[in-house]
Amino acid sequence: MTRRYVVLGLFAVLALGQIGVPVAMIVQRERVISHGRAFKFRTAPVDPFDALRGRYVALDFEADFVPEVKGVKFVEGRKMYALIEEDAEGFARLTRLVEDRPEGNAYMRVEVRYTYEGKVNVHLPFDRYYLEEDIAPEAEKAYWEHRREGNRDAYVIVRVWRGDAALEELYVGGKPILEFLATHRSSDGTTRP
Amino acid sequence: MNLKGVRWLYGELPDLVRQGVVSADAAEALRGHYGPVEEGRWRQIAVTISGVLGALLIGFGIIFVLAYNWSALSRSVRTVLSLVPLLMGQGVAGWVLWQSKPAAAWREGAAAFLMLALVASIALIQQTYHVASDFDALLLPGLVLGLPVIYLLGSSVAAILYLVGVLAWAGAADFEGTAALSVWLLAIPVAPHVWLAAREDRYALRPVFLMWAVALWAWVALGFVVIHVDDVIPIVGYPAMFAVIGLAGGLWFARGASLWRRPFETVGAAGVAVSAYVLTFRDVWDDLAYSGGGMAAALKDDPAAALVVAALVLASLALAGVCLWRRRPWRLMLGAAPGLAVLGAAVFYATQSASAPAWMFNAYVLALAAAALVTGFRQRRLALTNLGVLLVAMLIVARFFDSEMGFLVKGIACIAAGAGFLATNLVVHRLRRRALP
Repeated sequence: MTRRYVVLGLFAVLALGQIGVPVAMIVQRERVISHGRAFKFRTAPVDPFDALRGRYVALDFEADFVPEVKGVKFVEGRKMYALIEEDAEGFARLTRLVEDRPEGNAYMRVEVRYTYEGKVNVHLPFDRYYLEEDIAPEAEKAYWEHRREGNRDAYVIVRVWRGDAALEELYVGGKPILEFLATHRSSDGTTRP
Repeated sequence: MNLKGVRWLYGELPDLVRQGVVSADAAEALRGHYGPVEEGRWRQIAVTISGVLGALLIGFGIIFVLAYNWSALSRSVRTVLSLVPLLMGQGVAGWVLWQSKPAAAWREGAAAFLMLALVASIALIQQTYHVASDFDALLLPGLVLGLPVIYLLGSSVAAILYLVGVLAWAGAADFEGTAALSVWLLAIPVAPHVWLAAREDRYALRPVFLMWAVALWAWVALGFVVIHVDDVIPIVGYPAMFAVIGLAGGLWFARGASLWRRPFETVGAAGVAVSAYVLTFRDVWDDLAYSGGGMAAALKDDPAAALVVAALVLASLALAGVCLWRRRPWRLMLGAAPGLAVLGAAVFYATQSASAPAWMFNAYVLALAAAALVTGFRQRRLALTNLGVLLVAMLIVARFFDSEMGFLVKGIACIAAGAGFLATNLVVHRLRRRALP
């Protein structure tokens, strides 16, 4: 009997830990979304698939290169802070990589991938936007059709707070992706299956 | 123990007693010696397997349903929903632990479900918040928080899922160098579970399943250590690891009634035979010329992998020593493989010629085949003799196809190999029939 209660007690501790980890992830993301500063990152969505997490659009960012600094060694896999600025059109770009946590709130943690012609390529902490199974391929197709018409206006809104980043919404043609798809469908004369 | 044989004996005993062949006391003594044939055991195993399959299917089903990613639901609803599989898994596991003597099917099923639910919940939160792609970052917390489930619920299915998870995590993280050792470090916590399961009867179904999983896991896991390194490391590493598995199996797990019940011996022997066969090809040795500067360079470039392989070679030598001490010289055949690989590499680096090491391994595979044939004939084991003939046939085919000989000679060699198969089968059949009363 005593052994059963000990096992049950240990299981209760484990269960709390198991719940604690996902809850901590939720709290951290929610804090970034509610307190973070919003930045617009220009992107291009393409549609792949993740066995566990379902369909998504992979995001290919223009702003994942940072100018190299002479005398600093950028080792692959190293975590650094990227300073963020907004250009004249209001889109985010990464200006510099630093080792220590900077002041202010316009920076995020990134991972160094490689250096190329005086620039450092970094892995941003957001690279996909999950969508319903049947919507993701449709989103990619609609985006490329939209782009063929000369538009270059796909971007994501990312909230950044204390170095953490959380992707909030994917916009195409100035509208959230689901709204854009609904408009695209009605102008196309197609209906969703 | 051969359950089929015991069941047959028990069926015969009443007749034998009636006809006075054995006394009633002797029959009772035989029953006492072999113990009860648990007729209900297979039913219990079937129930456990269907319980586990059910739990896994439900777990995967929930993952697929939620992976659909219902865009219509708000973020807060999806966040709450993502915790539901985990809470369900914990609820079932808690209920099972609450029972005074939970059935194996419930224990195993609940543990398997909880392991999957844990990963599913973390995956769904990552989906809801569009977290970046790192699959390894998704699996690692699942593995760490899932590990205690193995022990609290005493679940071998959870242990096997954990081992598979470690491989998936290592595959996603794409380790290089010293980091690859973490694959092995993460697997160590499963060892006490295997030991506990095998403590009473190491040939029972549960430990046998676990040992199969461990042996096959080690085969894949060694790949993570040797994949990015100089060719000399895998050339020595695979024969050494399979030799260790096979020798340990031969020394401590050799009394299983069939090959299936002796997983270490089976995987070890098969692994040594296959890796030795690969090393009979000259191309494998020729590649060493392009891949770096020899053993010293391999040790300098990737000390972690080199140390793992060196430890495996030393372990195989130690086990071979134990075999010699226990007077089981046949088992030394397996122990010779890593030493030959080291010697082959040294000869290659000294002469820059692949011929000598390749022919050394041709001779070794031939010796393995001879050992299998002789043991098979002696013990009248058809599978072993066929394995011996198969090895010879594979050698003949490989050497004749990579040589300059004409089709006529190759054809005759193939016919000879086929005839050898048939003749061996015939001889063993006759020997077995003669041995029957």
